[in-house]
Amino acid sequence: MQCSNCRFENMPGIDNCGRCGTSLRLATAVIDVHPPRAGRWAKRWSRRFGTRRFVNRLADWVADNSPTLWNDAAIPVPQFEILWRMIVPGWPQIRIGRRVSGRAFLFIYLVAMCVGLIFIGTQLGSMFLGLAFACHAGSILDIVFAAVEGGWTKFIYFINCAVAVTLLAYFPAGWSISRVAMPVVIATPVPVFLQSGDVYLYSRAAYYGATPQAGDVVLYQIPHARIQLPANVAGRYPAIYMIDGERIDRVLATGRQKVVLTGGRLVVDGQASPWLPVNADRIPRDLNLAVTVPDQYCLILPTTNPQFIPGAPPFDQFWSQMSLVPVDNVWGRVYLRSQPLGRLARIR
Amino acid sequence: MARFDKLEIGSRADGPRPPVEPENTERDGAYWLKQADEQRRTGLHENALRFYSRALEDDKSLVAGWVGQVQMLVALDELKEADLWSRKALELFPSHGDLLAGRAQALCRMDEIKQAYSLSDGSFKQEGNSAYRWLVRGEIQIAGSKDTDRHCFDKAQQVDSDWLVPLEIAVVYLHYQRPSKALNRAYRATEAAPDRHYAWYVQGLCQFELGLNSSALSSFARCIELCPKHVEAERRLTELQHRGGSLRRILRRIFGF
Repeated sequence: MQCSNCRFENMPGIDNCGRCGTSLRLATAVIDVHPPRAGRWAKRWSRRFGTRRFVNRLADWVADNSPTLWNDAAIPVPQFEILWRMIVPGWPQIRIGRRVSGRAFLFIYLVAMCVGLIFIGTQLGSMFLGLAFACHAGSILDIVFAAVEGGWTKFIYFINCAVAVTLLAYFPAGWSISRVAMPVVIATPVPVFLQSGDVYLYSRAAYYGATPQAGDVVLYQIPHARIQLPANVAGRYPAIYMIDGERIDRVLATGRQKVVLTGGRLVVDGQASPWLPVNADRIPRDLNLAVTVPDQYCLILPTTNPQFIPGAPPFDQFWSQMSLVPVDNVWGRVYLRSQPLGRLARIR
Repeated sequence: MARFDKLEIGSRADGPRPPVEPENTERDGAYWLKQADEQRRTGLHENALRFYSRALEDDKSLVAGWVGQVQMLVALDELKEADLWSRKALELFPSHGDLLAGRAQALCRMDEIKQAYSLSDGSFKQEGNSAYRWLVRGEIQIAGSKDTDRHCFDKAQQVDSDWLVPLEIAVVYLHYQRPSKALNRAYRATEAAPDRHYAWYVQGLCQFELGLNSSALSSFARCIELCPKHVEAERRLTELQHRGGSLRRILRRIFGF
């Protein structure tokens, strides 16, 4: 039986030519002879934007300039194809055919990352996030140890890959998430609103190009204050209170608004305000305030201040001083209580 | 039938008909391959692809058909499809030199230069020799910014003295925006085949790119003379006739880049 490709005479009954390997059953085989065609839009796209020119040149550059450590027998896939896939745990393993281990890495990573993000701000969340990162590092280590030859070289290669993945993936992702979902953990309880162990999420990006509005619950830096109480007021001994730190509370008025607070009623610009602080019960009944909020300031009554100082003169002056918060001291808008899960709630 | 004998449609009223040649040509795979080659020599790659497919429908063992399909897919800029199809053809004809070269050409145009080099090396290690392997090698040299493209293309013309070879070399140069080198090859094609409109068309394109307006006009005019319904040549002629001055073109004519 003569081969149509190389004209070699083969023994009858053989499927492939002994010389060139061409199938001798082509004449009777059912093969589609019509090639696939590119769609019209695919052709327009490739004409306009070209092929993956930059990516392919980068791959060639990496191959040319990286040290020749790659064990082509163990990992018969171009180095660049493995390197960029390290961003996703398990993907390099799947690419080289180790599907079981690749899927295991990916599954463990996704579960740990999801649990870690749900419980972010808590010890459990930290543990699971650490597990996710460890799983990712393990995936990189697994592929590097299989592909790279040499003792210390493997560790150096692994560290380089881990640093690259951190810089290219985790830093940008972490930065982006921190703009919109930063956790704040409550250490000191302030009944009713804040309880010890609560985790709140706040968004810094809410005030990019905008200012806090009345009604927003915000995380802010309380104006620093030092209050000295004589012994007859503080108790047996004189006391000094240092007011500082971050608080969570509601914005009641913004710049240039006139605020009057009497008998627990808040009036802003002559109209009764629909908003109250988050711990409105902590406002003393006999507190009287009449202020005009300066420009670039907002009025936030410090009802979540852990130190409650009743009867400290000058009483009204203290509240007035603590309530005028510069806009720059507002870190972000608090929108969710994420922990404990039993008290999961949107903050409005 | 007798009742239709009295009808005067065509034959008797209009005079004697020219004798109809008997259809001796069997429309087998070789016939369709020939048709495909003819379409290719007129620059109609889509038609050539169809004829190659017809040839393979008749005889799947025609490796020239598979090679032609890959070449036409590359010419039509369907590079991923060309790569896929060349891989399929290589499963049927393992280590066929021209198929390896075809895949190398597709990968080269997709900027996978390293892989293209290794495939081209592989194609030379196989039996036989063809102008196409040298043409692809020359293309890879251009894409890799090497200087030995001219040597590879000269080798291609030595292996096969057909006029289509320098013309396809010119098309390759045009693809990589080297119109001056392309023009050199196109001149050889038109000298070898002055009656082929496609050669004049490609020559006109090279002259058009170089800003040689009058030469391009005469090349396109010659192309239309040989093929009056050549739409692309007419479009270029119209464009040339309405062409204004351009700083880029003037600089190109002065400095020759």
